[in-house]
Amino acid sequence: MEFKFIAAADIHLDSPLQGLSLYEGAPLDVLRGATREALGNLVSLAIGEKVAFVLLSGDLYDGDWKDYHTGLFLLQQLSRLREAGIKSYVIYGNHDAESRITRSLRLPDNVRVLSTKSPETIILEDFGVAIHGQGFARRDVMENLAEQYPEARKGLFNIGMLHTALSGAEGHAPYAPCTLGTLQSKGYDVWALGHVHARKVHSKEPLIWYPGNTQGRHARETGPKGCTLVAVEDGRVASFEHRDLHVVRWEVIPVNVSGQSAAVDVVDAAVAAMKSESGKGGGEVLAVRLVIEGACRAHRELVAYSEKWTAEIRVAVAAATGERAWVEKVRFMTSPEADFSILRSGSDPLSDLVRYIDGLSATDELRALLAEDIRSLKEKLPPELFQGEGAVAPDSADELPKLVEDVKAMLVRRISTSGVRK
Amino acid sequence: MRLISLDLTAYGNFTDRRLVFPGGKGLHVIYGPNEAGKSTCIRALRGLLYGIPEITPDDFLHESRRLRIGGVLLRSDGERLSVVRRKGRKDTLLGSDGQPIAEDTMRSFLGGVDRETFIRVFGMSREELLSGGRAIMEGKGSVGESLFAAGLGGADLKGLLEALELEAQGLFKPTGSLPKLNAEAKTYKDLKEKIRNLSLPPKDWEELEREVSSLEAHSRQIKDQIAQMSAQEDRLKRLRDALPVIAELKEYREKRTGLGKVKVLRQGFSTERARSQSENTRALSDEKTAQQRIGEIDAELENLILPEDLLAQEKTVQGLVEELGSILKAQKDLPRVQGQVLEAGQAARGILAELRPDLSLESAGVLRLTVERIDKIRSLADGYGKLTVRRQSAAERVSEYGQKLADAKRNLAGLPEVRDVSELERSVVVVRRRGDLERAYADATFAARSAREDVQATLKALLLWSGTLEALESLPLPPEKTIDEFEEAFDVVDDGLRKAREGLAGTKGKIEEIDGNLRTLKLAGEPPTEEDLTAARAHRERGWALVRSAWLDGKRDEAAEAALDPPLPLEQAYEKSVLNADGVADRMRREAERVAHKAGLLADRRLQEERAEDVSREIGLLEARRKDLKEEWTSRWAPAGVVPISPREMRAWMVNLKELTRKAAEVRKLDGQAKKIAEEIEGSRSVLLDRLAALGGPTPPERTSLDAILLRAEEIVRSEKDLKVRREGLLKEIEEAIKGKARAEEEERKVNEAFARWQEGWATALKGISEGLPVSAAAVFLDRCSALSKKLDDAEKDKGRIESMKQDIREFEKKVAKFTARYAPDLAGLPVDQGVREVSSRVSKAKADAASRAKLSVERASRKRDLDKARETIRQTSERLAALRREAGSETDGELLEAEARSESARSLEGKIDELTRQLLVLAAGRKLEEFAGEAEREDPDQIRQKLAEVETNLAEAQEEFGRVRQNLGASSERLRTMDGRGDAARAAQEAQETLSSLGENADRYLRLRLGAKILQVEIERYREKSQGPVLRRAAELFGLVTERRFVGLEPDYGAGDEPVLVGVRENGEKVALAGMSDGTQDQLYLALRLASLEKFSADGEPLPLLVDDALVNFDNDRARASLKVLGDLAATTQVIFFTHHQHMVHLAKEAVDGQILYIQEIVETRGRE
Repeated sequence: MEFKFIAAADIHLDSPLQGLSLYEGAPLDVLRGATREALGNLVSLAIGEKVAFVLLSGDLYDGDWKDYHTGLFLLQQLSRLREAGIKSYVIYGNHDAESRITRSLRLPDNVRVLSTKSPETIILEDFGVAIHGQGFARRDVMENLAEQYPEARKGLFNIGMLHTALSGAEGHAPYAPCTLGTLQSKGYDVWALGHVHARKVHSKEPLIWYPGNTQGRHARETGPKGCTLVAVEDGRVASFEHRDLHVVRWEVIPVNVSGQSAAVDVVDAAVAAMKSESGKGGGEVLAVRLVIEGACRAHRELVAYSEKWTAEIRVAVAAATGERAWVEKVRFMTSPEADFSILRSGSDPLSDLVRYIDGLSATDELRALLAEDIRSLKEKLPPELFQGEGAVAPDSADELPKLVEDVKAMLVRRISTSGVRK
Repeated sequence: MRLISLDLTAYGNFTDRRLVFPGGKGLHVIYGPNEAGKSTCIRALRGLLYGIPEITPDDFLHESRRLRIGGVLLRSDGERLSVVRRKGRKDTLLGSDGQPIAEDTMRSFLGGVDRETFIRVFGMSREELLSGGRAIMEGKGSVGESLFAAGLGGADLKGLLEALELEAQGLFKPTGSLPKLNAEAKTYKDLKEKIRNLSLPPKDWEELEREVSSLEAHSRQIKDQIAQMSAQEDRLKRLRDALPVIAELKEYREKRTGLGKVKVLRQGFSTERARSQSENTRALSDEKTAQQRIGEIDAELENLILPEDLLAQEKTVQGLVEELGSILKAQKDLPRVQGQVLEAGQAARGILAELRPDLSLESAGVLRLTVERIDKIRSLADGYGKLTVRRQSAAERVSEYGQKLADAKRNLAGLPEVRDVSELERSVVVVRRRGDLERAYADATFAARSAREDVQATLKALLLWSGTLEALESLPLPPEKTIDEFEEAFDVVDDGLRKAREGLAGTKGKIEEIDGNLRTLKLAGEPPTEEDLTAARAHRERGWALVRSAWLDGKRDEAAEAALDPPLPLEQAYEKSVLNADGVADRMRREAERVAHKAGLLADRRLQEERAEDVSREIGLLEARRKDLKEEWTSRWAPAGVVPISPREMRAWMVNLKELTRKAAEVRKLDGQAKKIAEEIEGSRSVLLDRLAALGGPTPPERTSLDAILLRAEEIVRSEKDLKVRREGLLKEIEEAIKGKARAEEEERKVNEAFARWQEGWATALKGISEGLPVSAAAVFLDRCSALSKKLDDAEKDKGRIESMKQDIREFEKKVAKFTARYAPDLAGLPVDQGVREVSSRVSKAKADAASRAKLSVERASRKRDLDKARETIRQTSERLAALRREAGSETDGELLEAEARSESARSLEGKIDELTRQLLVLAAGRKLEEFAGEAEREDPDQIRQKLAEVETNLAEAQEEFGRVRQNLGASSERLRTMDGRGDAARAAQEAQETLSSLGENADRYLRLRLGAKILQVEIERYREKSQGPVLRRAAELFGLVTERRFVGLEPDYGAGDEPVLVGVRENGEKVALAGMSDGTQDQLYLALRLASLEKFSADGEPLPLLVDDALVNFDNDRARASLKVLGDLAATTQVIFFTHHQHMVHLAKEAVDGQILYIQEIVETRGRE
């Protein structure tokens, strides 16, 4: 008996991509609708590969998203599978449990949503397969769901579907926690997991893995994104391979500009790095955070006028890639080529200023200087700006040192170039 | 680090120029005029130490990659470094061997000072001192900012802080909507709203879907009902329609039965019978017509006889007729041609007589000329005319040029010689260029005069003072401040007076008012006063005393009694007095109020009177004060001889006066202008007169105007120029006349030669024909020769024609005679033309007869065929009619017609019955006919109609309902279709994310700008606290030195807002704020702060050379000298290189600085290489 199936998870349909400020030349259209297109790619792949069935291990959409059109779009895509005679098996994740759309959506008859009350087993006689799974009944499932899963069915190919924060998964809410040991103990052939967005194989025998999400949504979800195509022969996994589905590929690209003397050369280096990166993929749109590093003479200019140079880089990248790349951020992590101010212990005002700022990092004095402005911003700007991932939190322990460095560079550069020219 | 030497090997306008700084010590003054390359030197030194910038102004002479700066540096620890700097991106520092040296080596000589710091701290220019001084002033002498800025070598802190603030405000304002963040926050909010609007709540979708399926069910249900009702309606309609059909059918069946047994003839029987009969009748008529016509034709044929042999000769006869035409014509032409031959001979003879009477007609052939010869004669004759004209014109031109030459020579001799007027012309141009001086003078004097008159008039109209304009300008008037003071003083006094007088008037008014009230009271009956009551009572007491004395004591006092109330006796008088006293008391009680009022009014009046007295006193005092004031006021104006009026008016007067003074100055200026122009006019006149005199000729009279002289001069210049032009014209004419005459003579010679050649040709051409023929007769001669030839030719030709015509006639007559003899012997002997015509007519008639016979034969055959055909038809139709009669079983034709009629009736009835049966079958719609008919007959026709109406109504309602449901369903389905999973809300959410992200970036930026500004402000204050002591102390010393002890100290003090500010201290301890210092002193204060900071900076690390770029130019000599001395002192610790454009700075330096440490070198431009 030979067949293939696809496992995917964390589609987060219609979840917006984050951290991208609009600017002239940014590839706007591709971006708006990326998660939808990725799902479309998933369905096309399943049809093209003539798979037996598709497994979706939770988080079809964002929990707080209320537009029913999103559900309807999901239906349309699943209906394409139905026309091709492909069944799909779904377990709800924490987001689905929270979503109002989930409750209203009537899925086509080729889609089977597994119970959220207890583990459910479905036998596919045609393929000799048993699928075990239980979805989230509510958002914050804290118990170990895996423990209640039944033992493997003898003589069948056993698949476990689970939306879980497998122990050691950093940066994800610890829902339905479990350990690798628990999963291995069930005697299943494969475990198709969901919840963690980074693709990772935790065990090969049995195969336990996260296929990762289908489309990266911010600068921490980098690299190609998609699903896993598994081939089964004679009740054993014959092969499994990742397939790209993403429309936009996120990358964090370091650009070494050591020794560059002029800021324009740094722009060129950034463009070169971008070109090389875009050559690596399949021609998809890139969303990129550029990290400019290295000791260079342009350091002060870059840091003091980072806004200007970020804009320059964006324009140049747009021109060089034919508007096929979105520069999310440019982080200037450069250092001065020869730091005179370190050499000098002088008592001139500039040295004094530098010493003062250096001593200011993460002190209450610094927080006091910032407090009033932060407060007035918070009063006027949307609260979302100061919450959650990528929030504006200048007075946090993480952000303060960078903030102070930036201010230092800005002041030193501006003072150095102010006043009369001699 | 000190600079030992600087090599400008290839840099700016320098090539291999070396500046030396012996030992690197002391004050080095480098002098060079503007453009000498001072700034280039400064750039070169910076380039040497820190590299040549990517973009440099110094590569105009030497190519960019060939730029070289060399130098030797000396570190404070004694280490030396000899290097060369080239322009480039990498390895630009080279050792003396030309090999790259690590930049670190250079850095160790720079003591941690970067390029920007070197430029700021170790460079000092005049602009820096100016802007530094101004910056301190603008910062109101803030100690912190001053020290900080001076320490930085002149940073624009105020501008910097403002820029930070401005940028921050562009990003965000706590209140506002325009800054980026505010605008984006609004956009974000709008997008959230948009997402909400675009989102489809699951509930909406569910409800709509439910609605659609319910509508669909309802729609199906109604549809079923409609189908049922339609069937019923159909059945009823069919039954209704069947009833009349059944009735009709019945009727027709009865009629058919009535006809009984009938032989029904086959279809088309009647038609066939009728056709056969009519064919038979027509055939009989045809037979008769044909027989008649055949008889007629046979009779005609018998009368036609034809001459067959003549008819065979038709073509020959036709040929004879044609030939006859031409023969007849020849016979007619013959006499005319014979005449022509005679005429031509006559004419030829005439012409020959004109040309050569000596020749006979036979030998006239000699005058038939060849074409060649005719042409030769004609061209020679033509050429003669042209030749003659040429000869004539050549002769004329020779004489014409001779005349011209003579005229021009005569004219030239009559003209005077040309004089040289170039000097005069130049002077005229110079004077003209000055413009219309006399008009300008007139204008200027007019302006001056009218201004003066204007001023004089105003002066005359000026009140309070009279005198000359000049005196006016120096009038000793009190200052405006005095006027202000007096105005105020007058105002105070006048105001007091006004108030006092108003008070007095008020008081008096009040008294009058009170009096008025009192009068009113009196008019209403004087109310008794307390005094009245007392008096009445006293009177009564007196009466009582008299009564009592008379009554109890019996004593009577007659006189007193009589006096009590004369003339009443005592008893009456007493009684009256009692009544009177009671009356007064009663009135007083009754009129207590009026009494009190009156008492009040009286008291008031007294008070007002007192007040009026006080005010009058005050008025007296004020008037005295005003008088004093006025005297003093008048005395202030005494020096000017003006008796002033009020200060306010005097201020206006002063304004007028000042205006007058200004105008007076203007008058002076205008006078001056006029005078200047007059001088210019005089100068111009004398120059022009000199020039005229030099040319000789009459001198203009003494008073001639400049303009007239100018015109005169210009006239002379113009006439001399004209003369020159005329002389030159005449010379040219002479030259041309000589040349023309020579050309004309040559032409005359050539023409004479050509004429001789022509005469020879002419004689040759006429030889043997008509020698001696004049040219003018040539054309006529040739014409006549040609006419003669033509006449001779014509006569020859006509003679030939006559012979051939006669021959033709004879031959034709023979041919005709032969023909008639054979075919028409009866015509022999007739003239030839008649014979031919007769034969021809006979042939024509025979031809016509033959045609008639052929036509008749054809017609006869055709008629015969018609006859045969008619007879056949008669036979056939008769047989057919007989057969038809047999078929119908009739003996006669009459019986046949009757049978036909009966058959037709039966057939029609049966047809109708069939038709109705068919209709009924359709209505039965598949049921058996009998069953259906039975059902229909059982129904009551009226009930059917009623039932049908009911069913139709129900059906219409159901259909209407159905339409409504479908419409609703359509609308709902449409709405459901738009819920198609579109991504509009998701796109808006993406947009919102983008806005949020942009907000984040801008918020970060905003906080950085704000924090930057705050940190800088804090640091300025910190720096002040730290440096105030030592730096300020040293700066105070330096300030004392450079101001030559006009100031001895510099102290922090406190400003209006309690912030620390700088003040200068004089020797006597007086503190002077910055605003109280001159611009120069402010600059020197900055210099002091700057040098104090620099000393501190140098003391803390490796000192670098201080480059001073003409910084002291704005100082006066004393302070510049003092400053140079301070720089000289500084040179002990820090090398000072002083660049200047000004020679006097060099002198000042020599005076101020010890020669041991002063080095002076000069740079001059060394543009280009050899």
